[in-house]
Amino acid sequence: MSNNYWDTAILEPLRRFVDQAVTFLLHNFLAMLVVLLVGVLAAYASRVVLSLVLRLLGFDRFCEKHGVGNALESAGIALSPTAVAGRVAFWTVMMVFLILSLAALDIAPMNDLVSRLFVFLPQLLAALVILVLGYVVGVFLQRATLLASVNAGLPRARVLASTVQILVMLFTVAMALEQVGIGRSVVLATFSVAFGSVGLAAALAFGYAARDLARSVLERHLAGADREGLGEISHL
Amino acid sequence: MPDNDLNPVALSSELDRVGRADIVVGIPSLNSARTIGHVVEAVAAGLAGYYPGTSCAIVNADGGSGDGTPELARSAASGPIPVLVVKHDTRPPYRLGTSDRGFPGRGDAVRTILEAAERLDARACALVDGDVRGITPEWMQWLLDPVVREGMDFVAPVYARHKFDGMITTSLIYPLTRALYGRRVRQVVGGHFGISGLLARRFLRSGIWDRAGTLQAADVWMSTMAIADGLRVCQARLGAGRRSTRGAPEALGASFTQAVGTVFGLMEEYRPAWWAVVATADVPTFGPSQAVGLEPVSVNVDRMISTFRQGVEDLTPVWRRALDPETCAALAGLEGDSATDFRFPPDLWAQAVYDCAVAYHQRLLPRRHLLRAMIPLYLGRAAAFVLRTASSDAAEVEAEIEALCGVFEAMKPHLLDRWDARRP
Repeated sequence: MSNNYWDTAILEPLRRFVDQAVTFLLHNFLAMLVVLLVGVLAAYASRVVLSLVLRLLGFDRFCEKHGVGNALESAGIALSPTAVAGRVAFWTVMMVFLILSLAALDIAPMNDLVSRLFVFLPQLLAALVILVLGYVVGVFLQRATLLASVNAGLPRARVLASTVQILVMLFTVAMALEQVGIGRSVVLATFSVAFGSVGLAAALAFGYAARDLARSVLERHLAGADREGLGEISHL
Repeated sequence: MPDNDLNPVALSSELDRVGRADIVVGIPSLNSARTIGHVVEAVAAGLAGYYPGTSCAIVNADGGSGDGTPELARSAASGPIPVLVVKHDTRPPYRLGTSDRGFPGRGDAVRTILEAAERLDARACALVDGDVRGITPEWMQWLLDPVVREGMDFVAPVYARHKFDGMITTSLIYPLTRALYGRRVRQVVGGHFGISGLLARRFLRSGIWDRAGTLQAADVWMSTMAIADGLRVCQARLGAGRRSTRGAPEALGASFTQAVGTVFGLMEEYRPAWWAVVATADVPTFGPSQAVGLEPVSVNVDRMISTFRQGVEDLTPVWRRALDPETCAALAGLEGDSATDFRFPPDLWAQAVYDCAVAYHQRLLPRRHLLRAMIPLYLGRAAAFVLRTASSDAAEVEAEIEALCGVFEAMKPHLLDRWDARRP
């Protein structure tokens, strides 16, 4: 009686659990690992093949000719355009295989999550691309503004440069949030009000407080000669 | 003479028609309507006067002017010397970002001229900018004689300019290239050169034309290649050699980043040529010497110094990424000087330039930003030079430049020590 009870109540469920666990480990988990491994190989292969093809096509030269290399360099990315494209390909393939590996586990809630992820993935990727591009553009414009302002002798160059970067980042974040559908109307309304206010404030400030500066800049520019106010000399 | 302006393909058949020319003079141009007519006439008169009986041709390669420059060049041709006018439209249909490396089309224009010289089997070739003022027929003799009669490969120009003109050259490019390559060639950014047929072919065979960036600064590259490769280089005195931009100076930012960026870029390519050079030597100089301009000109020294000081205030975080800490500290120390006795010591300037060359090589900063961040430094040094030589005569100015060159040469180990050493 007691032996039967022990078998039925304890050992049998335990045996079933162990069987399921072993089956899970031997099939699903192993499948996940295999998918991951294949993913790493596929990602690596896609990176190598893409880099090779782009090199053969002269992608770096093309990018340099059209200013993409300069834009990357200006954003502090010390990689060639081909290397950047290779890395993007690697991580895109890797992400797809990561999601597939979760599906290979064949767990009901996970399956639901995976299907949602596949639906959400394009939006997420688009938002990430927007953020990265926004960062690149923001850094580029911040440095460019700082250097141009100093070389033009404008006061408060650092404040001006930081303001430009913050505005670009605000714009970027609003676009990224819009893309993933988070607080769509609130974000847009907040951003519109903030951006518009800053623009209006800047216009008023420049119009009233810096009229003389605006006049002298325009006069120098329109005069043609000695735009930089350094004199008649030719530097080169 | 052709009835219409030629595209590069049509030029080919026109060159076949001309057949052969011992001397080819190329005139790259871009929006040079005010000067191109006089330039073509002076070149034609010089060739007729100094090389009678020699077959010559003039090639005007235009980089896409919108002011009728090619038409004016064609109409100025009225002698027996054939004038071929070729138009380029080399600008890409769109660009992401901007370039500071010169006006579009110049590199292709120079290449077209060199190709024409090769097709015509020229013994000598001269390049003269289409926007130069003050060109005389004698220029042809000074640029071509060293090649034709002295067997030189490359003739660089020397200009008798005002003592405050060309300070990017006198305070940076000349001392730097002289210390690097050991040849005392005053003007690597010239616009007017004499080239042997052999060297023209050598230029064409190099891979430089495939690289978009350096292509726009072909002058600097050609001079540097001739110097670094140990060819027979000399100089020709061309008088004032002014461009028509006098009175409306070219944008400092574009000129500076284009010229200095190209010199820095070539340092990577020609490292084997300059690494072991420890002494410098003069090169032969032809043509009559002319006095340096000393008449008063308007120079806004206060503006230069204030830009330098604003650089110290706002750009120090940027400079710290490129310059040695002691260089940065020394630059900050200059800030306290008053405008009248402002000094920028030559050794500190040389140190800053070498640090920037290393930063360019090691990409410690985005290169375009690095070059722009150098502009306040340059203006500080230029202001100090103007103050120091305000009442100097030509000999004293020359001595000042010579002393600066000596400092660059003495401090070259500073560059060698840092070139390959990674900053912690």
